[in-house]
Amino acid sequence: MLEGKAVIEDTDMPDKMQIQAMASAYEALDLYDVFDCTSIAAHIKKEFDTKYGSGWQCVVGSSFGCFFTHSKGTFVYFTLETLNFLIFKGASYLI
Amino acid sequence: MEGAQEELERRSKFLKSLIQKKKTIEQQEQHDHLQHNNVRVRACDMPLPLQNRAFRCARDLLDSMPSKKLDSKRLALTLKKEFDTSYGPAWHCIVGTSFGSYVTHSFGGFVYFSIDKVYVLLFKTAVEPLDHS
Repeated sequence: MLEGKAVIEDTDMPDKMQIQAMASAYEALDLYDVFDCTSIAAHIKKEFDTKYGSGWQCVVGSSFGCFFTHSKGTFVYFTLETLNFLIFKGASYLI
Repeated sequence: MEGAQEELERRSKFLKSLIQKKKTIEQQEQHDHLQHNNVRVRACDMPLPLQNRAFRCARDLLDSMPSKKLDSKRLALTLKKEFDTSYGPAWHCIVGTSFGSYVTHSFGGFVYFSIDKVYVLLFKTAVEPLDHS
């Protein structure tokens, strides 16, 4: 099992949400190949949109840099196996 | 009356051909521009002027980097700040050689392109008013 192998690099998320982020990542890695970063990102983003409202963004990969603006308390960056995971919520309107 | 009808049709065709010609020229110019800057658009939902702004910004910064070493963070920061300043918040930018993503973006605020050997994802999300609770 992979539980416990993820390492949080940076976050301003509540603990419970962090746990959900890592759980979603484990789930995604069970479902998809480690090279299919887009499907992994899609799985996690959809999970968060469902649980915590729309407007979540997810980036998964082994080599990237980024800059973004996120809502308060909605950002986590962690590593798991060979991949890096970035999850954040860009502020969004609910129409 | 028939003469007037024919004249209207002739003018209509002329205008249509002018519009088409202009579009063709614009597309050709865009293609030339991309080729020259070694840019390839992978996916896009963005007006042309904004696209060109992103490409030019990326090109200028990559050219200014010493020994061509890629600084993903710096490129991402530069693009995000330029777009936040010019087109309003909030833009997000991911730069790298190996990543996948899944995002929700504002209408007309998304471009994914490659320049040299690096990939750039630039997109915009709506900004929520601050919660004053």
